[in-house]
Amino acid sequence: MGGGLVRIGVTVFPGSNCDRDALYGVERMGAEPVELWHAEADLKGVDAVIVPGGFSYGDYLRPGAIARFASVMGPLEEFAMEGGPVLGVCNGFQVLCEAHLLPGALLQNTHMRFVCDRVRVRVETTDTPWTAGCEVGEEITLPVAHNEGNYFADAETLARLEDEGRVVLRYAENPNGSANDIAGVCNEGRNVVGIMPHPERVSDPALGSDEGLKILRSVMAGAGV
Amino acid sequence: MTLDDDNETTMYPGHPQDAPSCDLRPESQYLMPNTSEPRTLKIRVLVRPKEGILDPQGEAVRGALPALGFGGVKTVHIGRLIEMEVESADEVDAMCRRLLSNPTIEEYEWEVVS
Repeated sequence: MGGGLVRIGVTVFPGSNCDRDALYGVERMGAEPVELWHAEADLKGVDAVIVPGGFSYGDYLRPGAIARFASVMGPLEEFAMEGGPVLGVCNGFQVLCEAHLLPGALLQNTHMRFVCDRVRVRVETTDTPWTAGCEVGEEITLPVAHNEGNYFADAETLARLEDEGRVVLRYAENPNGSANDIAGVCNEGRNVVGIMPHPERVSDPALGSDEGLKILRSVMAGAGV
Repeated sequence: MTLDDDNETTMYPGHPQDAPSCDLRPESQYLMPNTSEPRTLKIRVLVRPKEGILDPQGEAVRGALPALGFGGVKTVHIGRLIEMEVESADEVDAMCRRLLSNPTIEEYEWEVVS
């Protein structure tokens, strides 16, 4: 890590509502949190970026559809293309899909209800910067809170994701109807990860659990080198 | 793009309030629309889930109709109707592809209404 404190950016769009949890989670990781305002095309030299959950731009049109064109997304896309670690959580996952940084899309939950719960997910690969500190097959319990978490991709894309080991997290019990019980995927370069569950909401025993730090802290090993 | 920029008002050259007080157009044009004003086209875009994509909204409505006594409803699909006024239709297709629809899950069609 070159001795320096790892700096982790958290994007803030109008309507983001997990940005403060994410900034707090970054502090709990022992890294330096950096707020990245949507209207500034500047990543401020951070080592990794978290795109947090919420309802960016009111989820108007489709979740993530408008946030994807915010000023901050230009440098974020470049950062992602160059291999920088990016984690999209919930609405952040939707934004990354809309931006084509991740394949597929998130449809409305099949049961038509907002799901707010804690779910068990299985870590399917540790070959991403955001799961490197976990073990394959390990189960962790994370909160979910979404209306559009039903992961969809066409059959060919799904087969590729499975073959290439790009399903990152899988639900033990599917809460939203997602294809292949997928809770999170990564891009071809494996540096961009999108997940529906919220690790930043369980980053402190005072919040009921700090299991989310397993995901968040993973990035410390690789970032900032 | 930031939504903060949306409030900017653009004054077009040739806006009525900037026009000279006497009309110098040839007589034949008096009955024609004022061509110095930007033309406005009304566009209607229909976005809907691609065939085969699960449409839970449509399914829920299909289930609700018989409950109200409406029989014989085989399928219901719910999409989105977008109406816009634009100066030119040249870029409508690009708008549909880049923002108004998500080609991974939706298909679109559009028409000039007037």
